[in-house]
Amino acid sequence: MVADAKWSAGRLIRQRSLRTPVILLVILLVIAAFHGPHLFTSDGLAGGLVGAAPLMLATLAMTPIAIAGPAGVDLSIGPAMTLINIAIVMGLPEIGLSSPLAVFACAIGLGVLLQVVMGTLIAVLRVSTVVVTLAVYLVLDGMNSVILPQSGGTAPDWLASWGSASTIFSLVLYVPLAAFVLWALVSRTTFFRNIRLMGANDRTAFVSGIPLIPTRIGAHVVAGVFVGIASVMYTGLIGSADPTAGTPYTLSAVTALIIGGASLGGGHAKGLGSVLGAIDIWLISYVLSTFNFGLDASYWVQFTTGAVLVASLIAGGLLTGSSRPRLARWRKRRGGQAEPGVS
Amino acid sequence: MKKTEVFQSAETVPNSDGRRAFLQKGGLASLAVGGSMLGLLDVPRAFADTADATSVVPSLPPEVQKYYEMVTTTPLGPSIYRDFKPKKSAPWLIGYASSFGGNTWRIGARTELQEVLLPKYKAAGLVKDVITTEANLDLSKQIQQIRQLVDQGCDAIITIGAAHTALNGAIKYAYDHGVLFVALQGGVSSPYALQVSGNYALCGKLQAQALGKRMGGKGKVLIVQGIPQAQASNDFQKGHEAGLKEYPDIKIAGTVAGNWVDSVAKTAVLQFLATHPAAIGGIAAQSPGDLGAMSALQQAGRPIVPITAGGEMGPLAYWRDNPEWIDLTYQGWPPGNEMQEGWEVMLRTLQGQGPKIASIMIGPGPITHGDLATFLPPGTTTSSNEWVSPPYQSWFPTKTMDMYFERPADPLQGKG
Repeated sequence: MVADAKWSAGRLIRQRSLRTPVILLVILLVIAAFHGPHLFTSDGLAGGLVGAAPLMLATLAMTPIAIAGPAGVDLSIGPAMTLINIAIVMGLPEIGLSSPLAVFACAIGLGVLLQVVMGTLIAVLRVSTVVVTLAVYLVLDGMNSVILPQSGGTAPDWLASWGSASTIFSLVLYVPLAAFVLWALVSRTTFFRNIRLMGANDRTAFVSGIPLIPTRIGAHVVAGVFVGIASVMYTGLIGSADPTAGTPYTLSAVTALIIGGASLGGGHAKGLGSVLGAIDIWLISYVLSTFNFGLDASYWVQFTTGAVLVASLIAGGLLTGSSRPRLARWRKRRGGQAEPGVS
Repeated sequence: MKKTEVFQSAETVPNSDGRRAFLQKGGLASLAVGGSMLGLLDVPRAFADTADATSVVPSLPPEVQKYYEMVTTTPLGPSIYRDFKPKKSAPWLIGYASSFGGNTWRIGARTELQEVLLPKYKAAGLVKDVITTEANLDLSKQIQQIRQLVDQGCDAIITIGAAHTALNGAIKYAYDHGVLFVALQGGVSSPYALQVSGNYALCGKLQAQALGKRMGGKGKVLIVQGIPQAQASNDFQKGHEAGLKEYPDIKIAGTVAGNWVDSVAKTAVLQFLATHPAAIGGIAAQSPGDLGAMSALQQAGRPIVPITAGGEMGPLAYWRDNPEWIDLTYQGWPPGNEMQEGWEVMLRTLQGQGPKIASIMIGPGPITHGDLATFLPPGTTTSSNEWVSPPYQSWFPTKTMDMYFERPADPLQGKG
């Protein structure tokens, strides 16, 4: 009965690309249960949700671009979130707007605009995604500090209160939930299947009659919507505008994307995997913070995060089977026997 | 020459800062409507949002009122912790939510915390332990860690150089859960933080005045900033500009960012010197950065002109060997002493001594050539990047600290 349920644990584990994030999640939750049990209180869950939501949505925003491939990594996301954050907190009040509708419209509008510009450059001029998004990363990062030299301002009241939230039953929960529903709907459309096919093999997609340029730009439009929602969640977290605080999201989201099982070659990435990867990244930081490293804290946190990442990627390779043929060939060369069942 | 003029006009009328203001206004306006045009935005307004109508500075003893000169970016109303009672009695659990630990200053402060203060107050039965978290300059992570320290049952949390506004939600969260939040080095706009800070603007001004005097009131000065986005860096900068302005014949040759790391400051000054062959009369540097500026002059083969030495041992050792180099300097933030003052304010507040004001300020400490024999250990070289540590009772005497509290008492004698 349990095994038949659509989202049962067994089904998650059977999905190869989700094995690593799910197993890592379970390990981290077990450590948290013993070493930081306050995570499972109302306060702890609220803190977890408000802290992890921007990364979850940022990783989700990267997912369609990763699917569209090849090497579809959107490096611009951190500074883009910062720019939208500044627009929400410093720009909108100047024209007398602070309602949730205005904030979401502005955030999603700017997110889509930025992504359409990048998507057009990538699709029409056929410049590599990494190159375009890296350039935009640098431009936006510099521009943010010129527009807003120092942190300041206050987010609209309904948004600023998210950072001190003590309960999860509020917009802090409903907004990400709505975003996940949106993702679930979009990812079941024919248009999205086209993105997958294009990412897996763009020649096949082309001869199948899929218009490559609009499809690629469309992937960026979907990304832009989630960049906008991520920026609103991030603004709720810091409750103000900051010219640099969003930048680290680029690295965290790329890491979460990879842990979540996305293939950087294109064609393959799951929204659920990305969200799980983001939760894992947040939990790594949470669990590490429950250990009192004292004077050496900075070195240990860096070191452990890196070690966990490498370990989970190696484990991911073994669990998903992507390393097995290579391992078998290696064993054969050394004169041993190939693993049974591996061709 | 033209650059200097632009710089000085920006100083007097901040909103008319030529191209930069145009970019700020234009950028924000276009953001607001997703690319269309809007005018008349006024970004700097946000930084002055804490100018305080409820200031209680006039009610403080005159001896400490002078420490509030030039203070504009920190709340000055009555402290929200005047009648604070901690959740439980001593020994208390303390959280240290560090934003980063990567320069000589932070290492000095943490060493004082872990090796001097914690053992002393543990022995007195006042503190159980200190939990340290480290965010590596990631604000989202620091917010999570502050909330985590609250959830872990800390009675008080201390941070250094916290962001001006970004931590406000987490600070409110701590306050809502009965946890005292101490922001060392101040600069936080939240009324729910108890701030303890040196007056960096005043320190910069006094440093620049001494520099200007030593230069005979004329010549060109290079300014070496800290981290341009940081509040303390802006305060120092404001002070340096205000102090130099008192000498009409002194011109600012340029400003570079040293990021409070000597190697960065050295590279920035070397680059500046390479493109500006004209003589420089002095350098107004933020520490750490004065040592970097001095080594840049040495490497470029330029004369070692007067530099504002803010506490790193190297430049002070050079002064010890060359008494004519400068006449006087001011120390803004000796790391061990600042950690101790924050710690003491926190313990006093936990004991219910009642801080009078939201932001407790400390004046800069002058250093004369005569002090160097006691401040510098024998054998200190001009390349030392360690910090001098003035005797605590001369930096922030107990009787001065007492003036900031409603019910002052020695924190080591008191109990929860």
